[in-house]
Amino acid sequence: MFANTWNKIISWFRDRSERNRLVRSFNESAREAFVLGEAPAMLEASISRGDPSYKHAFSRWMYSGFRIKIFTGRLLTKDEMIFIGNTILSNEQLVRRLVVLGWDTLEIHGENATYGCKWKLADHMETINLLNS
Amino acid sequence: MGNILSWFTQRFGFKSEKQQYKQEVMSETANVDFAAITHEWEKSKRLYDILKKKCHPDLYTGKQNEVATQLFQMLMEKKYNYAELLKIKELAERELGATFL
Repeated sequence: MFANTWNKIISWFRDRSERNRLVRSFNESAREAFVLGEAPAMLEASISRGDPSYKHAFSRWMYSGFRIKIFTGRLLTKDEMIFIGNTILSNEQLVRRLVVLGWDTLEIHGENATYGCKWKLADHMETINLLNS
Repeated sequence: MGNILSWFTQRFGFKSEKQQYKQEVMSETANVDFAAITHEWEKSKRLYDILKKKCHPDLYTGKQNEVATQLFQMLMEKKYNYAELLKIKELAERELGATFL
């Protein structure tokens, strides 16, 4: 009983710092790409509420969305958002890490965040589906 | 502080299957390459647009058509991965004689 509770406390703190570190590293890398002129738009990751219907075994109960805002200075087309979303989803390592750290929704938004696209992360990781069943 | 916490976890910690799996994934994915996304998403989009025109099987006949079909399938699977797209580009140059500016 004590061991289990202790473990939960430890993992809560560890996950929290890992989540923040991941978001920070992503943003640093995106900023560097933009400054060097390698990317025409700046991506900015943040934590959002997520979609409750996308929950899985590792989901956090609140703030389980990984949101990426894209700053281009113009309106993004749906195809562009889908391309960026799929680029992220094709990186298996990142998806696995996101899922294990409690994220369940990937959101891609334009600059003013009036509309965007979202994906269920668990759909892109087969092992999680096995754990859920 | 971190050392004390990990000592306590090792001493009293009970790990469920879920926690073990989580630890495995965390150690496997410790070095996620963000640059592959943030630096290369635009390049891969551009390269994919070029390659899908250059490798289209309808442009080739005979044995080259078979090669182009295979390359096109690879292209569809790896369209979001810049490193893989570069390999397909090399193959297209070598096998199909495609030229890129």
